[in-house]
Amino acid sequence: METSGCLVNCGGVPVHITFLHPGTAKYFRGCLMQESDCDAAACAGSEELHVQCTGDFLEENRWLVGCQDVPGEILEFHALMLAAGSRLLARRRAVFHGAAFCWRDLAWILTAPSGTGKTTQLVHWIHTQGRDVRTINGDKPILDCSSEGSVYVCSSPWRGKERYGHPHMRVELGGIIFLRQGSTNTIRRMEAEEAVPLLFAEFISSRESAEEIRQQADQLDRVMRTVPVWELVNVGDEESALLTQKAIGEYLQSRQDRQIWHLRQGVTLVTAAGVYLLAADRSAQRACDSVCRINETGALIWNMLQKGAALPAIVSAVQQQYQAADARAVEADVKNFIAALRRKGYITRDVIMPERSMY
Amino acid sequence: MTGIMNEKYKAAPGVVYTAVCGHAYLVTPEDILEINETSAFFWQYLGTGITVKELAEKAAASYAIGDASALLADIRYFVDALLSRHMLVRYTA
Repeated sequence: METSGCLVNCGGVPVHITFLHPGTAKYFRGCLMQESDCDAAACAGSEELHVQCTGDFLEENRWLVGCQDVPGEILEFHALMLAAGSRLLARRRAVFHGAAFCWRDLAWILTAPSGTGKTTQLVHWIHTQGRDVRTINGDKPILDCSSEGSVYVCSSPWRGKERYGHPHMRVELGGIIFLRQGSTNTIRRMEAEEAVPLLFAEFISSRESAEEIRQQADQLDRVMRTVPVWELVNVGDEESALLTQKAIGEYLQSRQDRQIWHLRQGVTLVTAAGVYLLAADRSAQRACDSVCRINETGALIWNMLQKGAALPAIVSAVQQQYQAADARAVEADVKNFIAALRRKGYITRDVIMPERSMY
Repeated sequence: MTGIMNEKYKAAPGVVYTAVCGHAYLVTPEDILEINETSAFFWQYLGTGITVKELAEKAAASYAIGDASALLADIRYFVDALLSRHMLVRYTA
């Protein structure tokens, strides 16, 4: 049988897929590796993976499509997901079963065994949040655990029967919502020991070797240590989506309160004749201006940032110093100042300090 | 209880011991089971060809328990749970 292939972007890893059925190629259109992706992958030292399925592998995994008489190309499309899922684990990526979307600049994954109502919840989010929600992948996004600090959620070719999702998205993971059907709507944070077995089952891989299972466990460990997991018991209505949004909103507020910023090394706050200046040494000047004038409030904020203070402490200090009554206005000013420092290269990155209760 | 005292067990093919967030799990392609510290100790030695009686004595020494027979019920419970989930098989030389 004639073979054909294509190069697909799987969470930043170039995956060269060889088809047994040439007709399978059409299911990967829109997810092909773009030139810029190839460059980025090459820069990151990510070598191509090669994935293909044998006829026997397709037959062994016919259960993936649930019926006997599907065309070979559809069976191959799904079997390739399993094969790629297994191979990607060694690259610290994983194909995960869930509906992933971006909201408030972070990715959220609705997960559960098939038929529980992931797509229904996703539709409620889209109805209630409109354009603030952007679907990454409606069924099998790829988790990228290869970076330090954050886990990222990426588009994948396996978008489910509704084909929800956009290609080439990569968004930092904010959290996971595990769905259960129920007679009322309730939401709560899950403990690691109850979440781990449930989430483990939602990783897509053949788990054929001990190494694969350990790699999967390592990635789940990383996810669990990075983001919270909620259990949403729900009746499948819009109210349940609103309840989740409220819970996530509260979490995001607490996350903001735990955010601290790293200042560029080699930048010093100096005072000359009552003027405050950020002065960069030769090494720091590669990334920011040699001198930047800031006012007295800016100097106070800089000193607080240097001590590793989070936003509430900085806002409180500024309020106290200037006896400002309007905390919201002060918070907005502080955020603007920090954003400007970041734009100008004086802040290198931000870090979310872990919650005390984080697993 | 005496029936199992001299029995030996070994891990079923494909069972992997792993840890996530500080919790220990036994995982197969189809199943996952969380185990506590004592069970992890049992698991570590069950596959080495020692009898249940020897395992009880080893655990008693390790956890400073005077009467090794006090652990037999726990071992029995653990072994039965793993056998029913096809994570452990009886070892016959």
